This record gives sequence, structure tokens and C-alpha cells, in this order.
Amino acid sequence: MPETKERTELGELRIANEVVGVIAGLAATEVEGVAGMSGGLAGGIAEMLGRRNLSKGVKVEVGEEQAAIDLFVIVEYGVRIPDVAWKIQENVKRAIEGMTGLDVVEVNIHVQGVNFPQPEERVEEQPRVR
Amino acid sequence: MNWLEKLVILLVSLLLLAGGVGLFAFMLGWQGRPLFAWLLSLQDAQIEGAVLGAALLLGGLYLLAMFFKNGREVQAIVQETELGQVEVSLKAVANLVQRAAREIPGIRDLTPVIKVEPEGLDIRVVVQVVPERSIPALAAQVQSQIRDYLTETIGCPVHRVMVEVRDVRPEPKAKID
Repeated sequence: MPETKERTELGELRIANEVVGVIAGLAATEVEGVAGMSGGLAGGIAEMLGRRNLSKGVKVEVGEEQAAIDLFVIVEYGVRIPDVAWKIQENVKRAIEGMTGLDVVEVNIHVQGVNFPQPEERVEEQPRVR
Repeated sequence: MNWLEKLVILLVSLLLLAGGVGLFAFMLGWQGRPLFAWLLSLQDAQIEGAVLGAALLLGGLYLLAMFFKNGREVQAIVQETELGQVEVSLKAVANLVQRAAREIPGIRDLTPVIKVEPEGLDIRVVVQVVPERSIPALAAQVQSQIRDYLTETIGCPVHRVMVEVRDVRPEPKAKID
């Protein structure tokens, strides 16, 4: 598994790329206006098999000190996409830098779709016959 | 995808399916006599064989051309920010266009085709409208609604919105009140 290494006084610290992906995924989905992540075919199959993939829709590239992130998101209908994208970029950068110490140089957002609210279901169903 | 592309894909898929089943059955020990007999019979019917071969050749070439054509098209709007790129897929833009225009009373159905040009988005919408409404007024409303909505939501300039009224049909009546 690819990972990033850091030397401390007491030894080596290794952070797996998967961990950076999970941090980015969680930071992105907590932004208001994000309906979810778009994981493509592989992510969809993994979810069908009952495996919750927290780094779904996240592609990370991690070097010794820097990281670049690509996020594939679905936004809620009615939001201003540039505003939501900017909030995701900021939140993801802050979360990764705060938790891993890596310098995030790029957070690219790919808006893959828009989630429309489902029409409200009728509260009580009228019987068709009396 | 238009009807011609769908038809070519259907025919080529059926041929591939038939070929795959034939080869699989042959590997499992089927002698394939009816298949060979049919192939031999094509020798006698040269015109039919040539037509079949030409159709397969054209179908293959058409699919190849489609592949390269689709690969060249821009599939997203890209905006640069301090922290990286923001890319909005054209599928998402098409969904937004549909939603924005369907809210206009008088629009029955709408299919958007979106292209990214250097000046901004180039949008063509094919619409079905209900009768007894002024079509120019309705088209103008569609144009302004799409332009305003996309400028506000995506923050990307809209260069042109072309409205093509394909059909006039009344709204379906509800079967029950």
C-alpha cells in the first residue's frame, strides 16, 4: 500500500494513502450542499457488496511532504456550485494539513452530478375503493 | 446518442453475441454444420454476402469514428481557483438545464445538448410545448431562465441558448381527480 513516511525522534511515522483519502472524503461530505461522493463503477460494486468505502470518489497523490487531491462529488440541487466547491477545497485542505502535516497543494473538484429532492410522498394513501 | 448510433450498436452487438455463442459452442464440441453450411451458401449468393460484408465493414468504421469523435469532445466546464480546479460535468449541467426549464409553465418536455465554446456555454434545447401559448414568448422565457440559472449556479458565462420547438402536445390528463 503506498504511504507517506515521516521521521520523528523516536522513529518513523507512516500514513497510508488510503487514510489521506478517507480524511478527504469525510471532510468533503460534511460540507453543506454536498449530496455525496461519486465513486464510479468500482465504488458502486463495493457498496453493493456491503462494504462502506469512506474514500469513495477520492483520488490522492501523496509525496514526501505534499499531497494533491481529486474529489468526485454530487451536489444538492439549488446550491451555487463555485461556493460549494470552494468550501470543499478549504475544508479538505484544512483537514488533511491538520491531521497529517502534509502540505496540500491542489484540491481539484469534479462535479459529476446534481441530486434533486424527491417529491414528497403522500402522507396517507387514499383507498381506491369504498 | 441518436437512433442511427443506437441501431449500429445494436446490430454489431447482436453479431458479436452470435459469434461469441457460436465460438463457445464450437469449443465445447459443437460441429457447427449449420453455420458452415450457411457460410458456404454465401459463396453462391455473392451479392448477399458482399452486402453483409459491406454492412459489417461500415458498422465497424462508424463505431470507430464515434469513438474518436466522443474522445475529442470537451466533457466538462473547468474553472481555476487558488486551490485547484473545479470541473462540472456536462451531464450535471444538462440536469440543471432540464430542471430550470421544466419549471416554466407550458414546457412539456426538454432535451438539452451542451457544448463548451471559448466564449461560454453553447446550449441547444429541443422542447415540446403545450398548445395555446405564444411560442416566441415561451422560447424567450426558456432562454432567459436557462442563462440566468446557469450563470448563478455554475458561475460560467452562457454564450448562446438555441431553442428548437420540436412538437406541440397537450398535457396528459389525469385519469383520476
